Amino acid sequence: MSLSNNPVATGRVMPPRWAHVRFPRGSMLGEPGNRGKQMAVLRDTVAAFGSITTPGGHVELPYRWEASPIMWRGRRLSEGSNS
Amino acid sequence: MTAVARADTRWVAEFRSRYDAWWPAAAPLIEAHDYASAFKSYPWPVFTETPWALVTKPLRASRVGVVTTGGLYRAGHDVPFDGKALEGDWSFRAIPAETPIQTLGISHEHFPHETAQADMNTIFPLGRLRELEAGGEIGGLTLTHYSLMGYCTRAADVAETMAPEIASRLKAEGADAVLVIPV
Repeated sequence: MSLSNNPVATGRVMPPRWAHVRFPRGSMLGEPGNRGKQMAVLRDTVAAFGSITTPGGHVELPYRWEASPIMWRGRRLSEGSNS
Repeated sequence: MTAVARADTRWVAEFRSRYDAWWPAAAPLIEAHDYASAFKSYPWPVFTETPWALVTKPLRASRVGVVTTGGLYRAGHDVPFDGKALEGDWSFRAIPAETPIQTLGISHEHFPHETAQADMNTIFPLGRLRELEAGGEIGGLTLTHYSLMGYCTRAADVAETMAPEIASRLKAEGADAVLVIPV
């Protein structure tokens, strides 16, 4: 099972199962110190081991970045690896 | 939790040939940090099938391993990854489950570190997984987890050396499920 904030890159790799998170690069489980959100991401992700029944299947997680954008090489990131 | 999975390695030979043609022009662009130009013509591996293994155990009885691409290492124990290497670093570090995660160093230079430095659970969530274990939501954790540096242009070397070694070790430690966290 792979987490992914970059569906294009994940599509190239073709993992067996993946969970789409909309967090910026370097922040795959959400904001630092946000235990509740981190636990929710993990619970949903491990639950998908059972709910994904076809190779390459994925789940969309509903959580969003709720802190200031992360600055990376001149970009403001809040939704994914490059945006 | 899972039965047998096998890797598709049919792409490796063609990749190596295309990589050797790509690298001479890409190297100076990467050295100049012009990654967009360098990777426009990167010979991305083309897989033809998705590896698959059936889930055969409930989560509450499953042992979970973690692989992060965050370039984490144990300061004072491990050699850091070569974060400045133009082709990246295709080695890995084994991190015992009892390691206090906030003591880990980060030697991957291709992502912003501030979130992980504030809370390593954001890229290597052993603390949160221990909570799931304590609550009986997963069966447990493997004794060892693994870190690699997500920036590595040499995909064939990753596929032929690092990845199978990590998979073999996790299997030997009884992993039923593995969570990969590409940073």
